[in-house]
Amino acid sequence: MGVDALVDRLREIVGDDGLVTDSVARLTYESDALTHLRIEPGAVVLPESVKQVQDVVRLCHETNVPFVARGHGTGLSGGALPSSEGVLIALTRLNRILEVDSSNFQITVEPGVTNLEISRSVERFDLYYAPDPSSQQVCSIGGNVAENSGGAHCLKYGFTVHHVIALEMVLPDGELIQVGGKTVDTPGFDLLGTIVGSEGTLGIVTKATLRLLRRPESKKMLIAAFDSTDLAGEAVSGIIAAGIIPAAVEMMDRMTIEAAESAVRPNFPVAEALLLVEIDGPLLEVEIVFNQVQEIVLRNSAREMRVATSEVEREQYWRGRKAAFAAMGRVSPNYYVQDGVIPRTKLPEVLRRIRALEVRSGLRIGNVFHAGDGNLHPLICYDEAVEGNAKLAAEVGAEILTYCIEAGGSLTGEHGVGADKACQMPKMFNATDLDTMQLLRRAFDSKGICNPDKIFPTPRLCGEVPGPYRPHPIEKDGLAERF
Amino acid sequence: MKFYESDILASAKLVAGEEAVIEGVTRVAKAVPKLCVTPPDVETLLATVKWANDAGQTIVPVGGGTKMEWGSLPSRVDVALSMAKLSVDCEHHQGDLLATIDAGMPLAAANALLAQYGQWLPVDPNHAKEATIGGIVATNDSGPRRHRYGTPRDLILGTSFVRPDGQLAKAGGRVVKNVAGYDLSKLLAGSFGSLGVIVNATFKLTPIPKSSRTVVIQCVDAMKVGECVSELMSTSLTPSALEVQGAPYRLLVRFESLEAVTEEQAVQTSALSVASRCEISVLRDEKEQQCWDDHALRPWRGSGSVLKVSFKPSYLTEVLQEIQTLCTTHDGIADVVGRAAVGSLMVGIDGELDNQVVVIRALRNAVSLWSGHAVFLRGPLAVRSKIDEWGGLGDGEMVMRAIKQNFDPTGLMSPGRWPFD
Repeated sequence: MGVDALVDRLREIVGDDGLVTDSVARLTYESDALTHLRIEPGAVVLPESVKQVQDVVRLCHETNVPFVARGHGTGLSGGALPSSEGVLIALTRLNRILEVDSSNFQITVEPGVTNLEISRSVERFDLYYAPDPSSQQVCSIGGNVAENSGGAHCLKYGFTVHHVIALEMVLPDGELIQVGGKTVDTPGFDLLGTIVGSEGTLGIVTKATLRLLRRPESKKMLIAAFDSTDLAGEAVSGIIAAGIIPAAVEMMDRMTIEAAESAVRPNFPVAEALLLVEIDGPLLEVEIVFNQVQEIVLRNSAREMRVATSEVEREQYWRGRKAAFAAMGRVSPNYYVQDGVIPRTKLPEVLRRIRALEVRSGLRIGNVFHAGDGNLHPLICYDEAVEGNAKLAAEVGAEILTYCIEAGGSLTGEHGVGADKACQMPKMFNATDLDTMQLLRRAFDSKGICNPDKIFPTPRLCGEVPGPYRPHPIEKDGLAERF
Repeated sequence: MKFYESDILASAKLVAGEEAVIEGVTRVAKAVPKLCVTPPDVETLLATVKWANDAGQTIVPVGGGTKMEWGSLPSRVDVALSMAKLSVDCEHHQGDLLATIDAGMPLAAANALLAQYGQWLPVDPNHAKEATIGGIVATNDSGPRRHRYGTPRDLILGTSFVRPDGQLAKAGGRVVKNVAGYDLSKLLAGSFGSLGVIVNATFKLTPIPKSSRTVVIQCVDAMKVGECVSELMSTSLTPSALEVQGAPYRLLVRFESLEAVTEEQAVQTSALSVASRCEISVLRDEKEQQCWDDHALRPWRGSGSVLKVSFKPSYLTEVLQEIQTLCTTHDGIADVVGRAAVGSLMVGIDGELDNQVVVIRALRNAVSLWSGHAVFLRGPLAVRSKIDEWGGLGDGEMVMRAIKQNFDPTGLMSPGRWPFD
């Protein structure tokens, strides 16, 4: 049965108000923040209860119609790319905070709640939710769970998967299950650990119980300028070798420093490389460790070092770092954001290859990294108006991923595989590895209707050429930044 | 291919080599296997698993063998597959804070290697001296430091494993940050050898803290324990472990950081309003180590049953009181150690066998009121046979069954570990 034939039955489930029929309104749902991949969804529904989600999924299951769940659409890998023959289920109306259990450091929320709302709602208990993707003002927790989102602080605090303790999920046949629990060690396979990061391919999460942390007593931050990214990388190695795990270590190269400076004026020094290091924890520990970090940074030929002396200054530096992506718009008409991971120690080698590629391709490539964990975000500048330039940018992006894999790294550190990198998965996993992952997928979704054409390469998918990056509307409006 | 029973030994030797195969003598998970195979390398391991699958022989992977009885026992043990020889490599990437470690390597050996570079895999499972990497992952076992570092599933970054059909597969990666593909290493963590044989695992490591202090707080009753824990958790103190043991109850609060910090936090802990009204001592060096060694052994000292009990941490007092009341009523003896702020206790129960059963059942009922559950880890067969070891898998069981069927369609990999196979 085609999706068109379902419209009336969908209306019965979600009501007139829950069915998006207006063609302009439906444009919003054609893509997530990976805007060059666009598909008009067969139908769009906005359920307002778990029961409605279940009924829609059950209908899809009965009629073999694919469905795709969507949160706030900030994903960067096309994980919420709709299916033209399917139903897009937007979970924005499931946005309630259901329970705050501060004595057990837990909060239970619906998937449409934004990441930042969670921390805000428990501020009064001096608690917070640790994963902080830079889109945290707008991204939904359902999307965070699907993508196993990270952020700048994950070297020390881990990813979403370390902070989710229970989920309620609608299985691809419409059954509702509870996974994990409000206590640890629920017996059986760790379904929780497999669902978090499964990019919406195993079911639709309708509730999440998250672990909260006490706010660190103290935070200190410094920025340091270096004459090369190699020198800055050595300083990071020095910090790690001293047995220090910073709350965050970020690196920017000359191009991204300048772009950030022109965009939000964080007052960064002019340099070939800039490090931002943040230490948090108990007061005394932070004091001692931060002094050590300063010594290490200076010993590793930092040309200039500044310690943030106030919360305002700290936030100003963070704003500079977080603006790096969007700021590229000031130095280049278009740019393409890549997300790859390398073993941190391979940084000089991989950067040299990227430099050579820059020369060879004629495209400028800026670099920002989560330097502590080796997560690179190369920014490939190009001009759409120049014939063939966009295609070249995409090829350069794919080439950089090859360098990451050859260095022993990964295709993606935090943006996910989605539709964008599905065709590149064989670079990292062989046929048996991918087949084994499918064993898991089919256990949840025997019909293959739950967010199809994501993660895994298919001939249909991989015949198409990936396109370049375009900023998402919310990004243009300054509501979100890429990180 | 079909085999007669008498051919099994000979054909196993053909596949795995003469030296790698012996007839089963020692018990594995309470059963005497037909064979014990110890593959000398990964190729032989793959060939052995494939052979067993073709020959319809069940396989039970064995590491240190310290947790073979946890949960349900395998229903049939044809081949005990020892990982003892796949225990050589610990590929340490110091600057990247990670290591890929062979499944058969004991944790203690791996950590001794890593310690030379000031790093470690910060898990402290039960039977830590004999436990192997593969076994720790397969059981997802942890100890007091779970309070800070979580369980193996939180530290694992990737794994290579042999599927029940004998094919080698990998998942995850060898970098600390990676979201490419399904994280099957988390699926294997806690799967008790029922989905495949772990060949190696890559973990995120942490620097070994430079100093340690343990504050021991004597608590007069379970109420005092709860008060003390909740006060501690409302401060900005950062213990690496927060353990309760008893009765009589004591709290062990461990601080691991720089010397000045552990010293300061120990002093601050002693000055807390609830703790300061209790008898307190601060341990360091050998005395501290001794205290933790004793603590780890406590639940295993008797010959009775051992349970792992989970509950919402805010009900700690109620759970401790319940255990005490049940033991008083039914003439049992309980020894409790556990993670006070995580809500996970190891409970040793001794006494008449029938009374152990009664206590276990009643305790299960009680903790279920606090969203909790209790898993049977070890105990006399007479007790085991009267209870459901896992105590129910919840409504994820249907999905778990489907996963098991997809991974192991012939049902030969540790069969019977779960209620659904």
